[in-house]
Amino acid sequence: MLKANNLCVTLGGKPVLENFSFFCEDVGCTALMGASGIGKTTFLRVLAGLIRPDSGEIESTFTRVSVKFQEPRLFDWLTVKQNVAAVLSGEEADSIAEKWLSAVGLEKHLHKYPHELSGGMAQRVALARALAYGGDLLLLDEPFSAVDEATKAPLLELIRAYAQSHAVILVTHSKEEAELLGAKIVQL
Amino acid sequence: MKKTLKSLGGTLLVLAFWLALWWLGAIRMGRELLLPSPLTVLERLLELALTADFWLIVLRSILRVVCGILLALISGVLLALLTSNIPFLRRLFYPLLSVIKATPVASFVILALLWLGSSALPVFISMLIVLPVVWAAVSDGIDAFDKDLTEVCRVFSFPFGKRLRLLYLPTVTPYFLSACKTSIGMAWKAGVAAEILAVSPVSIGKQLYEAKIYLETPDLFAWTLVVVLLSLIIEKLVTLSFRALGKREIRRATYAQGE
Repeated sequence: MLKANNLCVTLGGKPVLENFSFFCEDVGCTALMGASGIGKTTFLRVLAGLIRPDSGEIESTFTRVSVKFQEPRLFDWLTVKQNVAAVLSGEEADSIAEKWLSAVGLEKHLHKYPHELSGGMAQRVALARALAYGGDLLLLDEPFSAVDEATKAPLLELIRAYAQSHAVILVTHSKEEAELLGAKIVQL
Repeated sequence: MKKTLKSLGGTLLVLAFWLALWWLGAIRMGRELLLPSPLTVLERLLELALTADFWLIVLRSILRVVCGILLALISGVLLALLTSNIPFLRRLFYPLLSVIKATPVASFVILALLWLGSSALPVFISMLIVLPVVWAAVSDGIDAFDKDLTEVCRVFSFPFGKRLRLLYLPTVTPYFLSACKTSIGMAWKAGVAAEILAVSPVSIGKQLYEAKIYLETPDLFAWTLVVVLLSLIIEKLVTLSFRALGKREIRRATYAQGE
């Protein structure tokens, strides 16, 4: 469960979030929607622990948070598989990485480097990394940007399945994506 | 293989051109005292190389300069780590870095000769030449850490060892290597210059100094050639050892930034 009360965040002297409150359950998908610059990404960054709010409270029972940033943010000097395995530890890191990369349809590109991937493929690697990390809260910032329509459907299904046992908070501009995920829509 | 041979052929051709030019200059001048021919220099170098003293002198000079370089690498990295992470130290040490960079080597040589004596002087001078280059380069490398990837490390709770291996080393290594490459030649030149000025015992610098005193121009050329060769060999060894030691990601980062 996550409960945010009256969050206020100012960035560069400009208020980005003002008295924003939010609630989500332990499982299920929540879609954050709203105009660009309204604070959706900022809210995700607060939840990821990357920004400290100026005021307000967050109560959370989640202990492990996975993030898929708006940009892929891959290590250029690691292969696709190494990028995913990097967030894991233990002997099974490689096999878990392979499993999730296969789930996002990249099983034939395990040994490629990020510069050899298209924008959509890089986004899928970043998604696989976030899923492989296995956070009980998964934060997705526009996960389908640069992903073509044909590839999007299985990815939506993958996130839908993940949301059946975890909490997923997704930033999107597409109402259709939110509906396909069966997400609760929160308008900022 | 064919490409390597072609490249080697090209290098030999360039070398032959400059040797020929040197030879022609020596013939034209006609005085070994002013410009000895390449053959005379080579003969003198071989004569020297057949004596045990030559190798002892070379070894002692190598030890001095390498000690200076190693001290500079260690202190340069430590200073960069401290000054990049503690703003107060950055402000405190910045004038020192600027002073070291701007002060003529000769000033340091004269002062250090009084403080340290002739044997330790080349070590100190070599260190002083390499230190600011490594310090500045590693600081630049630390400043170049990708903020986005730093956030990735944070959200996925990478332990320090993993951050070091996956982010810090791949980012800093190309800067560090480039600093090594630039400064090793400089360290040799400054170290030998310090040996000359201090007339350090059992040193290449002392041999150059004596060659000057006794107008032994072939000796001067032969010992200079030794300094050039040693500088090239050590530079190559540093690059090769980093490649051998470096993880694949370090090599890739080095390659990517060199492209």
